[in-house]
Amino acid sequence: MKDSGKISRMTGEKQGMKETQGRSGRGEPGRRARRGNADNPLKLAIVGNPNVGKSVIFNNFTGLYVTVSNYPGTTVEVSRGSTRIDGVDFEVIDTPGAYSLLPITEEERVTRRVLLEESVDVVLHVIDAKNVNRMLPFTLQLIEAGLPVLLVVNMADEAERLGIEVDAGLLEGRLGVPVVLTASTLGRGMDTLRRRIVEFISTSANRSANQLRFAYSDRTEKAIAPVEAMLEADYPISRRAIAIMLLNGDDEIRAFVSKKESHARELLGRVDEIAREVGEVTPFAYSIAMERQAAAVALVKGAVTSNAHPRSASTGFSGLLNRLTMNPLTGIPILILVLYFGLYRFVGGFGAGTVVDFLETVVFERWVNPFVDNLVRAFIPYEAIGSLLAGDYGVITLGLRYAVAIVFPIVGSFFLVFSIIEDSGYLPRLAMLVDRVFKVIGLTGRSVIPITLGFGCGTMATLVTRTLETRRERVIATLLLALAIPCSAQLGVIMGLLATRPVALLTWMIFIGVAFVVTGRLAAILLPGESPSFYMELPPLRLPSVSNVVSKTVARMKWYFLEIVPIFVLASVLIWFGKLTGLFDAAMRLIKPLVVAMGLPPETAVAFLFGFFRRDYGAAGLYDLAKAGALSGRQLVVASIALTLFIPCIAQFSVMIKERGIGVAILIAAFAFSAAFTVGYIANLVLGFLGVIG
Amino acid sequence: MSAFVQERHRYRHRRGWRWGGGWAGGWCRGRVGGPESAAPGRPGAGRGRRLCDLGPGEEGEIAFVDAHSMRDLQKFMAMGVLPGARVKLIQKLPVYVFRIGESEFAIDDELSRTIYLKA
Repeated sequence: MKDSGKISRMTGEKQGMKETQGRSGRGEPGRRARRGNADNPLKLAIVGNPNVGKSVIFNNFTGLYVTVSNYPGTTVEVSRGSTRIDGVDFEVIDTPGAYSLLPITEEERVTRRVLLEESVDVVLHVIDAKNVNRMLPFTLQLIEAGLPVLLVVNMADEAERLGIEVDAGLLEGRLGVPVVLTASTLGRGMDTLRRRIVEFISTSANRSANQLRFAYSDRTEKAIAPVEAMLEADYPISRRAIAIMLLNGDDEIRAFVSKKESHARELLGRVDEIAREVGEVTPFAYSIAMERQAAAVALVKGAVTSNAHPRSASTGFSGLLNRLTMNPLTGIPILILVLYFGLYRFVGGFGAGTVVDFLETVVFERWVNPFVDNLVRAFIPYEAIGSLLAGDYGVITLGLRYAVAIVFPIVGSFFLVFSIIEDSGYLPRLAMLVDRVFKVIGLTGRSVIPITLGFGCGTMATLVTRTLETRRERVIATLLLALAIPCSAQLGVIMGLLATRPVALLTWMIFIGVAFVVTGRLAAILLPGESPSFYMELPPLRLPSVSNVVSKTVARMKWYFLEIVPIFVLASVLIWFGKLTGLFDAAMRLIKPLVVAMGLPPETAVAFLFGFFRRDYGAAGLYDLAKAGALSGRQLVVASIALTLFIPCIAQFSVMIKERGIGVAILIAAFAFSAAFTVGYIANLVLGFLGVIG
Repeated sequence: MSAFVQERHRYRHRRGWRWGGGWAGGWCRGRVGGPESAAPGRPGAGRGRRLCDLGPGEEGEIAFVDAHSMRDLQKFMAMGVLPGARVKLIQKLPVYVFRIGESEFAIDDELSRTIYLKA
């Protein structure tokens, strides 16, 4: 490093006045000394890019006792667990994948909030040994922020196979933070990592003195210095890092700072001025990123050596599979196979068929319902109260039955398949395959994730739209989820209804597909703004890990049962109330003419009304009518189309209000309402004219 | 011209799209960069080979990127698309896929047009 004068070690003696750049706001040695026991564990956050093995390290530390919850105010999942190393208790936090401290996505924002708000005691920065060059700038950012960083160079086994060698000792000397080489999937280096963590926390007093301090170019430093000097409040990270984020034009940090500083207006004004001045040639954020990258390259020189690839990742069977899934000629047939086996055969056939049949016809119809009915009849003499619990629309006999017997197996099997697909690294490939098509409807390939999730549960998918970049994209995705994406509960029943009539099923698919594209296109044209550009990392495909898949599925099921099922039970109560007070009859009278206009028997109005409370209720109501032979083939198709498009269920609607605001939510619902009947009406005319389905 | 059409028009113009580009227009379609990139002092003024000019399997070294917005810039930084880095184009359809270091990324036409390579 002889020629990199820009990189100097920050020694406590020589640059003592720079001490404020450390973690001055957090220096509470007395408090820390008492921590590390079960009641008051130390916090260990695992951060890093997506796909570097953070979760594997997390699982290795925490074992089975993990809670996955949404980060407060967001929908991003953060897993927490606990571990004890050498008698010291830790709370381990697995943060969402982040590329830098300058967030683009909601996930990255959450990661930064964890670091900014939770006073973390150890930050494990996990990087990929194959890509040290690219990931080290993030390490530099973390060090610059004065965080207690421990660098984990993971996937050492894969790097070795590619002929890449990492000299951890040399890197450690240069960075001034502990560097541990691991291969987490094999468990290699994990014991060393544990030992280093314990060492690390016991030397907390002098470790910041050793950390590398690298200087940017004079021009950049001249921009940072005055901003840094103006910061007066205590921050959980260094003032230097705050100053850099401010100059980067980071709105969230601006808000954060203006809450803390007494003369915030003046400060931010000065920041804008400086940023404008330096930004005239190159935007500040870009030049700082380039300089950081250059510093990373200098640091890595000699510490990471690469022999000519003995075997590149793009060869062999996995390499071939990687290519095949990305090439549109082979990728699209593979996609269809994945959908066919994953969704149609497993979720539709096994989950919605075999398991539902067993739970419905055996468990509930034979055992639970008669038992509850008898019990209620014997002990509750009041008809009104009794019908709340039992009978055709009772909370137990209908509400719980649907939740346990229909929704649980369908949604559960969907979440299982989705977790497998997610863990295998297939979703980014799906995203890149559909990007071009999604651009037409104002979305990018990235939105394929909430849209696919919508086939499982529209409510969860609507929450996940938060991960999309722009508001426009979020609104379009919410609209399409509400209108044209049937959730798995609904899909299961409709499949069951139409499965024996391939032509009917095809007709339904065509109409829903057309509604999806036309609505998306219209929304893209009518909503102002432009589509964000698309970029996505394509990790190599890998065999999903059983423990990851199980923990993800369990976490989603738990969410479903805690968040959605209560709303469903509430819906049962509302239905009971509506029937009791006659409100339902009034609503039914309103819907009936619309239903009749579509050529359907008036009784189907019930299905539509219930469809609002729960989508599957509606479809199941239809199922009952069809079983009774009340519907012709054509009526069945028309009703299925209209019911799929019909307004989203009560749970999804409430999330729409929360996420998009009441105005947008009502507009979307109103649109879905009219679209359902209009398309249903057209479908009836078209099918009648063609006479394809009797 | 309605507000919407204006917006749309500006958008195409800014992104350096050509009407009637599309699939038939070749994959590296459109003018180099947008009008602002050609302004003196801006890096785009020099012109040059871009990522989308490469054929599948070809490599190049990044000279600079001419991001149209802060967001795009952040995306480039996240991917490590910075001057001096070597990139290898893997495929062009349906989106551009390139390898940088040991990672692969997919980007759309818009982004691929703003990555300039050394001659």
